[in-house]
Amino acid sequence: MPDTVRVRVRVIPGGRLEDLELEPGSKVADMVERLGLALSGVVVLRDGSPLPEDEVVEEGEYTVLLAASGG
Amino acid sequence: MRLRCRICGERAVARAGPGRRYLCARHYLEHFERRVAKTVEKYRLLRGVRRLLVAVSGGKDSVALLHVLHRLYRGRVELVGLTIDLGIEGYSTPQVEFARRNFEALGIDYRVVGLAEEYGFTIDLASRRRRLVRRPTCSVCGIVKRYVMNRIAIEVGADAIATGHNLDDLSLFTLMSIAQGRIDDLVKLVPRTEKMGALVPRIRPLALVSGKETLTYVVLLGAPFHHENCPHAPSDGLRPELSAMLERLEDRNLEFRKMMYTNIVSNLIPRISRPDDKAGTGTCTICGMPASGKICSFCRIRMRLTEHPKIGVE
Repeated sequence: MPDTVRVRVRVIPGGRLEDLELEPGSKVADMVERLGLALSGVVVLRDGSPLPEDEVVEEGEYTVLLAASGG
Repeated sequence: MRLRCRICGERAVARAGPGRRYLCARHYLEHFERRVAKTVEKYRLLRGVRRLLVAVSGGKDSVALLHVLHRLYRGRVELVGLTIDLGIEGYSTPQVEFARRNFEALGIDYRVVGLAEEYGFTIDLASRRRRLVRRPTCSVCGIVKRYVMNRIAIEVGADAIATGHNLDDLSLFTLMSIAQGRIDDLVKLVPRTEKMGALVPRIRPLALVSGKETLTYVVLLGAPFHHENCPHAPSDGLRPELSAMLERLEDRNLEFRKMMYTNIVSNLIPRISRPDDKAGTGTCTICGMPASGKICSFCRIRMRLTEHPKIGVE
């Protein structure tokens, strides 16, 4: 079992791109915390589909949509 | 690990409701629509409404609003769409396009009002000339949108105007109004404002769902929506700080915003004696729309931007 899970996260709006290394077994909530964001303020997508906050993170790409976009 | 829907066992997409149940896409959509229907019933938002003007910016909340109203009340309430081209460079054109795509996908009649074409100014101009208009850009934008919505509602014979304000917006606005002592503004932050003179009632069917929930809803519907920050929105200051603080509070205190907002609406606002309610009782001598003085705020802004002698030489 690898000792880290590598993910690439794009935050929208803004397009900020983050490469994170997480501990195996980390959850979506942990990833959001690492980004310095509140869970109540984001929707995390994998392949375009939302994920519950305690889904375990796998290697690959994620999109974080911010709920509080100004408009 | 794949989390499963507590109702049907399909793959879960979110946790929802006070019980924080895992739900799949289908059951999440049902859950969301039930919450909106409950808000509509609780505050009797659609009483006396046969034709409803739905204000759609093209962002997630108003797109969610349009779809949920269409899915819940089609055949019972006639929906008419409105989108306003605010003339914000790089922002308004895609917004209007997203709004239009949703109206057309649902077969809903709609109007697009271009500020530049109809009134001779844009929000970008109001921002560049903010010392001349003597108001922050977001305040001008709010006045302009409320004015155009009311005017079009009267033109199309709508019984009410629906806007996409969600629980995040309303809990933030109520808190700011209280902190800043703007009690006249606070009393208007209810899920339904009543008719006052020529002011058409305004309803907020998304008042008890969060921005996270509307976002999840439109993503799951696959509805096209514009997800960018307005270039005029402040990136620092009281408003974004309070917004972030409320999100943090919500993370640690489930449904805090709902508790705060519903308590303010049910227990605080009714105890505040009504303000003079000057708005709506007078009539603007220029455009004939409701005004608190002789000239309404909108006409004052429009005149400062289009008729002020300084504009030509600045």
